Amino acid sequence: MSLLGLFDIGKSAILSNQVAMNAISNNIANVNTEGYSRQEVVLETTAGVQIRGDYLGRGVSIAGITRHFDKFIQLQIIGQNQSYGRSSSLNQGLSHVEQIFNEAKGLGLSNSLQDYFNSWQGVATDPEGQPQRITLLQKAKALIQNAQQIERDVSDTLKNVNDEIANVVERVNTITSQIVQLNEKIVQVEAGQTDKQASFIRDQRDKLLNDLAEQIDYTWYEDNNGYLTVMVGGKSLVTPEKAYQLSTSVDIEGNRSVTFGSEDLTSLFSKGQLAGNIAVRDELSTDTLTSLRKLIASIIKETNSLHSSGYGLDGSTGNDFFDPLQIYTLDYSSGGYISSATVNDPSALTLDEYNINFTDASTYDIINNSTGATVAAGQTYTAGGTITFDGIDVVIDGAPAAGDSFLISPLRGVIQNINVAITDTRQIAAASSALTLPGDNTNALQLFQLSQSGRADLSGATFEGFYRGIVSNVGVDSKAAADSLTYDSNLLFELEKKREEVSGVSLDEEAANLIRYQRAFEAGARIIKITDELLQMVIDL
Amino acid sequence: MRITSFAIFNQMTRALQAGMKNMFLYSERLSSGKKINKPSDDVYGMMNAMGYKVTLNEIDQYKKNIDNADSQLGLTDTVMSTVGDILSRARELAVQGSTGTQTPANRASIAQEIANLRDEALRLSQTQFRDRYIFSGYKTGTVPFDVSFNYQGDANELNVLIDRGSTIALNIKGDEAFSSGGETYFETLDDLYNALITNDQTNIQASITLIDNASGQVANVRADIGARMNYIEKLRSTHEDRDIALKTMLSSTEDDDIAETVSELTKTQVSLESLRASGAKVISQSLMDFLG
Repeated sequence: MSLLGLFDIGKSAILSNQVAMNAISNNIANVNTEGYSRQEVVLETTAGVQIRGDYLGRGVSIAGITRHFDKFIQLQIIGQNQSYGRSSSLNQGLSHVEQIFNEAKGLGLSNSLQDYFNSWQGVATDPEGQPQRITLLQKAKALIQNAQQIERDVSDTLKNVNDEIANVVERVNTITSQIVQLNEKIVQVEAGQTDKQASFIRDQRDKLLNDLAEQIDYTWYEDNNGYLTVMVGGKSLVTPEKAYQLSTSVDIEGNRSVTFGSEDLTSLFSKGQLAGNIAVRDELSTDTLTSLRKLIASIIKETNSLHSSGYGLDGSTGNDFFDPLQIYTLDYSSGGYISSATVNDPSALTLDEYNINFTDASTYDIINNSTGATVAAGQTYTAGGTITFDGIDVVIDGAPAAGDSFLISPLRGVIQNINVAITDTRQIAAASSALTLPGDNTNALQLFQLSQSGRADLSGATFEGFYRGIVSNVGVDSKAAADSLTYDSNLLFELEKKREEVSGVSLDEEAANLIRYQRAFEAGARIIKITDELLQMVIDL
Repeated sequence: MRITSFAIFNQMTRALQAGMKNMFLYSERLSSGKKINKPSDDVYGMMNAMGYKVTLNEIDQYKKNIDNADSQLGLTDTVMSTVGDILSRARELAVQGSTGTQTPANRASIAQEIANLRDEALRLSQTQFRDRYIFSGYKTGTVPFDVSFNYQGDANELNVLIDRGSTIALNIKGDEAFSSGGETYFETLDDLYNALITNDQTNIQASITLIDNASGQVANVRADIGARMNYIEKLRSTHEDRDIALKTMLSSTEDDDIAETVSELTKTQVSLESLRASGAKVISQSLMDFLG
């Protein structure tokens, strides 16, 4: 044990405590860095010399730098981010739709629906009155414009949702490529060092995993080298070598689906913003829009049926009040096409949507999409032959193949294309017979009373009741989405609080530590000074 | 449990956010006066409110229909009352003309007045309400009686809704209002006129009975109108009662209790203020402040 050894001990104290203060300073600097895990320098005694059989240390050295991090909490946060992502998108989409139907602010269809039917009572009260007839035409037009406005607003929301799906996929692709880059760095830094961690790179990668979780649900694992693999529905988005990109494609209805290579993964996602947006889209297109169209189609169907049986002031009869219902089709086939689709019997029309599915090139089934019932099975296909069912005539031509299908719907374009067919007020059919003109109001009365009884096409509901059902569904769904968003964000907050407990930086703690290491540093310096004085003393002897 | 500055900061901002959100909700309620401002605020309440509004709207229409029926029936009653007066005057004149002391010249002048009464009655039968003949059934564009006193209208009644599933006829058919025993009042008066001109005392006498029958029929018709007007009047007050009841229910469903909201708003304000005050202290302080 030489006197010079004291220098080394002093030096080790200064250097080690200085590193510790570096770590503390870095913690303080990153007090507001998202995803940062605080670091702590672990000190240990340098192996010493033997003095009379006992060991005496020879100063301090750095054993390592600990990253305060709880893997289990991180796992929970990733899971919760996925739930949170879904409910935040769902809430955003549905709360927007709710405003379209906000009857509390006089928006929605309720007023114009009542006005339209009340106008028939106006005509009934004064069957010859021109003003009442003009009012009726105006209110009918207002009802249509109102429905068109609502449909446009809902369709705009749908378009935004589809755009957002593309944005989510874009973000996912950015995140996965960043993860691959960080994978590489982590593996390089940690290569061959069993106890060393690329702390801040890992923080960044964990942060990316959180961000990714907000977008989609995925599974992941880390191999022994530190490579992270991210998988979606059995497909690897991130492998040790590279990131595989998701892409989107748009179908003929304008709906975006998420694809991986040639495979459609859309239905695999159940969490994250992606799933939230898909859920909003399903809700809007299969439920809200279809119901709204069905309501309008039913009003058209019933009004026209009664109106065409009545007589106008000019003695004319058989006139439709609104433009008649049409059949809209969507072609999901490879070789076939629809050459015509028409209503052959408005009274037999169900206002449901149908699919004609080809099981092979010469056989098809007709399925009612709304009820799920099979209308006709195993029918033989003849090119150009007329297929007739439920008041609809469809002519399919060409060479359809197995798996081809055609959507047949009286609803799709109904709101968009509808107009009031009557332009001459004299043709408004208030009378039930040519012999009772002009004072007969019985048909007008019946047209009003359409609004007071349930309609078979609307599952027995009245027009108003059915509409209320639409608003109610929108309200219930929006409420549920808002509730689960609150729940998910509270839970996420609690988890982040737990993470903070382990990984977060406390300025008080750092300040205390700073003083601790500062004192140790000062003492180390003093050792050197004292050693120097001792040496001087020895030299001066 | 380690508490970090970030955790404190997060907790504080969340609490502030929650408070601000409540402030926003309460002020939205106060500005609209409603506690339901969108369907999801209270789906069940909103459905009820929509239902009440539909019924209120329906009642409103029934009340309009009743007003309209009231006008037309009232006009009809006035007309029939005048017809009754005409018949009374005709009876007086007939009695006068039937006395043996009357000279042919006197009878001729009485006849002239009867002719005027006859024409007056015919004009009354042509009364219009909103440009339509009220005594022609559905043939509202056709004069009810032609110059030969034949009925040109039909036997239909114009019904309007005055309650769900309940209708009332607005019109009295002309052949019911202006004839009795198969003979129109105009014919009766015309026969009387001819009898007076021709000094036919027997027929003058006979027409008195016919005029009495006619007056009886007018009274019947007026009783019918009176009954209808009574009925719709009762319905009107029923509708008004329902109207008030529904508006009360609607108000309690969707209207905000302003006093309560103001007090909630004040409470939230107080808690926000104390939160801000304590937040400013807690967030700004750490051991760092005391180093030096």
